[in-house]
Amino acid sequence: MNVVLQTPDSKSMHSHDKNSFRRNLRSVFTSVLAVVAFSACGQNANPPTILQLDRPQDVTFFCFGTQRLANGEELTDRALPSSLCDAWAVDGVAPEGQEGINPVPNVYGVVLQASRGSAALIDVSDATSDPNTAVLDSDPLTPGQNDIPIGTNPTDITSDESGCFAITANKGSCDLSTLDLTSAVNSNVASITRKIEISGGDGEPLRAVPSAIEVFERENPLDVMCPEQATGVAFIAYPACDLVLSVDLETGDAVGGIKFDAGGSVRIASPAEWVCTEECQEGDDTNARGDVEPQTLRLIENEDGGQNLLVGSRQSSTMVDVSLDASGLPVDLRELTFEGDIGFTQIKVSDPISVGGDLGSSALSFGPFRYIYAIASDGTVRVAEYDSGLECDTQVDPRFLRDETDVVFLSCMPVGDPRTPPRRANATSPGIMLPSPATSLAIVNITNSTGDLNTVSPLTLLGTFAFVTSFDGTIWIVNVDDDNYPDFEDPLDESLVTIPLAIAHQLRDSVADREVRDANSTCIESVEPSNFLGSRLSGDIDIETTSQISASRTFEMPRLRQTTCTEDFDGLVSEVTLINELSYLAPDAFLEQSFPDTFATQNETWRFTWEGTLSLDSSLTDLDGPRVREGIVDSEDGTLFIDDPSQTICSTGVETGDYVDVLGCTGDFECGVGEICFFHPESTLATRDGLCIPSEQVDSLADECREFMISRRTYRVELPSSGTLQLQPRARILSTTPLDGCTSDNQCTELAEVRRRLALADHPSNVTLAEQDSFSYACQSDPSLEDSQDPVCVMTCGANPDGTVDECEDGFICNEDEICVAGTVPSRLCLQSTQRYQIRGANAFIAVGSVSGYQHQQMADPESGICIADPSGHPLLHGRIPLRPEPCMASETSLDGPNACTVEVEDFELDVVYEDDNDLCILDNEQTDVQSSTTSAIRFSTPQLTLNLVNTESVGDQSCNRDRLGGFAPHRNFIEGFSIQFDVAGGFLPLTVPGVDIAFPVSIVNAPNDTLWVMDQGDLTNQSQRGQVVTLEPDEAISNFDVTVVR
Amino acid sequence: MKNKQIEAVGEQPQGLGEGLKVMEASKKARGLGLLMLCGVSLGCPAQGEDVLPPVDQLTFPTDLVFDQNRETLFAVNSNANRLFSSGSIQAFDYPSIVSAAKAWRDSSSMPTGSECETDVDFPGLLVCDESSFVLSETTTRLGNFASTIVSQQLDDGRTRLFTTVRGDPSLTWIDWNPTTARLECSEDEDGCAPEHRLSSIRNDADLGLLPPEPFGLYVDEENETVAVTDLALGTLTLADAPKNGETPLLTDSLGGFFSLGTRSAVGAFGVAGQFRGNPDNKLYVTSINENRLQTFTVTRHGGRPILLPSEFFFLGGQLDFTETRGLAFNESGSKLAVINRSPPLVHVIDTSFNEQRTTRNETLGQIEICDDSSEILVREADGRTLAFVNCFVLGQIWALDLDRFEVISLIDVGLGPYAMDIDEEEGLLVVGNYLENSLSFIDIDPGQITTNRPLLKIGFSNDGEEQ
Repeated sequence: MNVVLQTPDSKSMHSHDKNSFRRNLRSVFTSVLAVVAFSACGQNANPPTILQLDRPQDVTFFCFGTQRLANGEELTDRALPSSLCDAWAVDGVAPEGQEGINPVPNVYGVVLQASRGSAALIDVSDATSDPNTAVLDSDPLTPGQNDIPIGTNPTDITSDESGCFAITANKGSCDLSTLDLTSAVNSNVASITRKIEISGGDGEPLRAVPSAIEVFERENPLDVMCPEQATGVAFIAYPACDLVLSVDLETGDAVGGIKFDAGGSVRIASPAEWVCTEECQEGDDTNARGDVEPQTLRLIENEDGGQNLLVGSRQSSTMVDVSLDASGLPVDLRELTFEGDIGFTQIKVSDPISVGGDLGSSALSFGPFRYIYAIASDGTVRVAEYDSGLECDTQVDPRFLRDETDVVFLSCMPVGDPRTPPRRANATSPGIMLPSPATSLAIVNITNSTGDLNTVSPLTLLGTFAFVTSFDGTIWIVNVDDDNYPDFEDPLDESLVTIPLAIAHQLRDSVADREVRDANSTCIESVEPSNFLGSRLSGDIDIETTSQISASRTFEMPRLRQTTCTEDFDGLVSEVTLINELSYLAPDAFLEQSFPDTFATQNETWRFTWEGTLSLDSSLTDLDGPRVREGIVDSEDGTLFIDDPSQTICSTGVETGDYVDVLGCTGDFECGVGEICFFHPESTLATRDGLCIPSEQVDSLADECREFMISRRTYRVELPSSGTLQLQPRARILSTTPLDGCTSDNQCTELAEVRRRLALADHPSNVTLAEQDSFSYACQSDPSLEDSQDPVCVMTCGANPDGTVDECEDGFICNEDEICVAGTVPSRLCLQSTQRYQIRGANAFIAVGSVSGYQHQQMADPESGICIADPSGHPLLHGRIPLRPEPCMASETSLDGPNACTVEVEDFELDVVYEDDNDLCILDNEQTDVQSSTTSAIRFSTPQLTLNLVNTESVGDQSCNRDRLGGFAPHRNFIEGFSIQFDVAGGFLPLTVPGVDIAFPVSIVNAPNDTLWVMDQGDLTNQSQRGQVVTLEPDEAISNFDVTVVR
Repeated sequence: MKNKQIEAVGEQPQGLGEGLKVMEASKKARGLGLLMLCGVSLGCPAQGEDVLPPVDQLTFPTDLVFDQNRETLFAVNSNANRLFSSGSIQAFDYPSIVSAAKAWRDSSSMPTGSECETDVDFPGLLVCDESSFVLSETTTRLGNFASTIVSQQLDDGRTRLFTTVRGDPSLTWIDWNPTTARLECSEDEDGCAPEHRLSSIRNDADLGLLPPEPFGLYVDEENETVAVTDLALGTLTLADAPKNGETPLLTDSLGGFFSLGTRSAVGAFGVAGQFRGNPDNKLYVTSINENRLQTFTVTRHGGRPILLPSEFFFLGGQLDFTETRGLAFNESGSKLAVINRSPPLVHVIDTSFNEQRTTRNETLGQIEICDDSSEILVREADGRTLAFVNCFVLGQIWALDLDRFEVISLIDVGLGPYAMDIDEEEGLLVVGNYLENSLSFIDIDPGQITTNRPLLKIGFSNDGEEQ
């Protein structure tokens, strides 16, 4: 449609014709709008797409073809007992009594299309071979693709006990529908559907909205023809009625039931309780609610050969296991309790599984065990061992499982069991956590994988696996029991097993060759892509510093612990190479300590910055919130306040003592209405911004706000709360101030010299420092702090008795106490604009991962809103490495004790030896050995990795760089902005089904031909579809699961 | 009272045909909000001459809003086929509509004095000529392509209406005086006076102009502010909206938060507030270009409300969600529903507070919906969080359960359902059918057999043809 601008008052329009090109990028927008206008006048026309399906929701399968009856009569083109196709599927050999039948019966899927209230038939064999014609046209005489109307808003589909009828539970009409499958396939007869009205215990129609249906299974003789109508006992869940009924499908009469009470208790109900409030009167589709809301059902075979019914409820974390008698009536109940305030929307149960044993076989195994997998309302997949009824904790921290060899315990570590170790730091429940909430799952047994059984490979699926769909359209694969991987760590060779891959109920990893080490026995770092090999350092470690530190001094700076790699050349010559502790060449014990939980490790870039910002987010990442924020700044009684109406301050992880840089502006475009970005002419800082001020007040504010404008505007945070930052001026402390506290002004003066030398590459004996660059320091308590602390070297200013004047360093202001501070508290006149600011951690390295972000435990006190450390926070959720932390605990696997902590480690570095004449500081190039030393390190752990920082303090040099003979008080020799950055490869990459776009998967179903069918209700608008059925072959991981799509 | 944003059909750029247009907003990202356009003649050719829009008939209604007492229903007409020289705003006698709908529902009786008939296809639906319900003497001209309308109760009992007008890039404000039953925005009958069409920051073009495609609206009565999105440049503009009846004023504008994506314009679409009336109310803004939700807070500084950008987050998922539309919070602000078109899903977001008193902004679940939806209303009923979304091509409204992530009802309404508003007291959902110039009134009273069924439609279907 074309549009035109006609306004009631064109005069008004012309009032906008003023051209005030004050902002940049105007040309961009001119172009943009021109394109917009052009496209508005055009039209797009897409060709229609013929679709076979319409929002498939669920599927059931049936057998169709020719059957020989017991009397010898052969029936053709008929729905057959499902057991017949099952029997034919065994090695393709004709079952007894069916010899000579040709063609063999075929399997069809009945796909429920809820929004249309119809069923579509799919030829299962065609679904994989010829998906474009797999859907049968139910009425060839009517143009287009036709399906079979079956019910009003059907919600679930299954087959009757004969397998000859499909049964749907209809939400829209509060009844059941049956579809005669013989008529459904035969196009020369009309499809026969029938409604089944349910009668309650009082004999009256029971018109409640069902959510799920299952049919009691009985053995079907192969040589008996299909009944005339649907038979068997169906179990129907009525959520709003808190009732599960057993219903005779032939009569529609209720014959049994279980009833839930508001308190969550459940009992076998008497006939008088088999009644529900009417929910399907005309127009009522508001879905009344029950207290417990039984939602999902699953029939399983019990150990006695009978059947049990598992019932999951939306509003209860208790699952009910109902024992059924031979006629399908409930006779006993058992309750299985899961952790947390959850409900269930789907239940699947594995076949009996033997755990442990040799690779690729069940020899020396334990069990069998069956595992319940349930989609929980918290989006996780909950797991329980069926026989014991105990929930399994799938989130146990692998740090604690290195010595565990009990495969039965490892196959299900019960929630709450004293023996079960702590969970991973980021676990929110004992369930399997997916990146997106789970929607459905199916469990498969794979006994004949197409992968290479001689090697461990993510694509060799042998054992029992769950395929789980999630809201985001991904299909994930979970190891229920991986028979092609060891079950626990080999005590003789830790490198052979990655624990998270060994234990049960974990997302399957897709990274190949995790256990492959030093394949060519060289000391050359691996250059494999990140989805190969185990977790490791990737590439070099970057040290970044500022112009105030000479680049040639970076080897004196903090670094990660180093070890060695020794390479033999024919046993005659060996070469020792220095390597980093995170290197893939490092000893196994190093790597195990560095990357203790492969599943927590991400392929990401880590940056450890001294006093760095608490966020490194860009415009494309939303991990920690904006690095640069904007707020209203106010001043009162010598304190600055930044208000954050969005209450995000505690979420930044800020702590008392941290720093805030009030950044100001870089240009007018960052200022408010009527403001300009004013750069004070007296500012000598090259890296600081201007300040937004009202344009008409430039002259007056330039003087009024001079000190604020020319200072660095860095402040110390006091008592941060969720909505407010209180800021105090921060004194200029000498970066090389003694870590144990200074003892005199002279000591400060000496260390100031040391600090100045850091900017130079020259050796101490060759340096003459310029007098004019010196500043005065006094040894005193930090005036920024109220609490008594060790004295520090504070930059001072003001007039001296000899008439000279001590100045402050650029960007610092001499305050009334003659202390140099990094910012003043200006009058409110200077704070009329909003201010951009950033928060930095104080006196610590700030650890930020490009995927993991800045991890911390800060929370808002529920009463006061003040930011406090979460008393129940996980110790690994930590992002600060201070100098001089407390000593580490003796046990490396304990989560007790400080993080970070101080520990003695063996470290290696290149020996630096100068020739005899020390004054010249000439390196003796003949002596470049690698030397080891036991040194103090700071050990720091996150859920993703553990590392040891060494060289974190210095005593200075005497004559030559790094002679370490300076004899100064221990101090740090790096300044704010110093950072260590490196990449981690070999992080966890979960295996998913590739190669298919799925918009909204609502169910995944095991098909009789060992394929999985995913019902995708979603529209991928760019593909002009209304949902699709995606089939995949679980045992064909090596060929991307041979996915096909029926639309 | 409601806040919402709707999508103009085809999302055509409007207001560009006058040649030079200068747009300058205020701040940082205020950067991109403050750019200019000039010297080019854009858009599509004009057609209409000075033909006044009909006073008693709907002409492509784009949005609806009630006054505070639910005595009057207002509809803005966009004049999308340009048959007339302007759009318009109309007032409807809402009690008489309710009376007609309920009389029809309860006793199948038709209102007297109205031209009504039973719908041929849906015998349970009564269809009446809208002219008998329009307070036609109040119909007021607007610029073309009015997009959205919201209302604010003033201290003196009047209702102030704000509407975004794309053809006359402005935030137009009109006061409804219930005593005189008049819409007040001009001394004459030639549309609203210039002072009622806010188009520049602080009414000073040198400080910046309202961006050229004002679209979504959100009003916070207690905090006395109105927020306006822009479809062309992706900005959010703020207006001071005093309850004491003083003249509203555009005070701030921010841009640069959304990327261009694959489209030719940046496009901020919807805006919704998490805690209406609370000083800490947080605004969430969507874009048609990407799956980013940008948040803002509003605070008063120097006596004027200004915008403070806060965190942003993305609708997560393996697929590339790229076309985000309308959004709405539940009553407590703990749950947010957002429409994304590619693929067409309603994303349900947990916006409750975490331990840091920060909103979680985590996806709880998704609901698959029709592929052309743009507007969503969220309501609480019987302890449940429900939603209605419009399905423009299907001619339906879909009712959703945001707790269970499922569609619970498909409601046939009319051609091009677009605008929606709810009267909880009377249990009615009102839907504006853009393509057939009608309004549908749907029974949402859970105690009725007609629940989620249209009871009444006003405006005979004419498929948007000439009237």
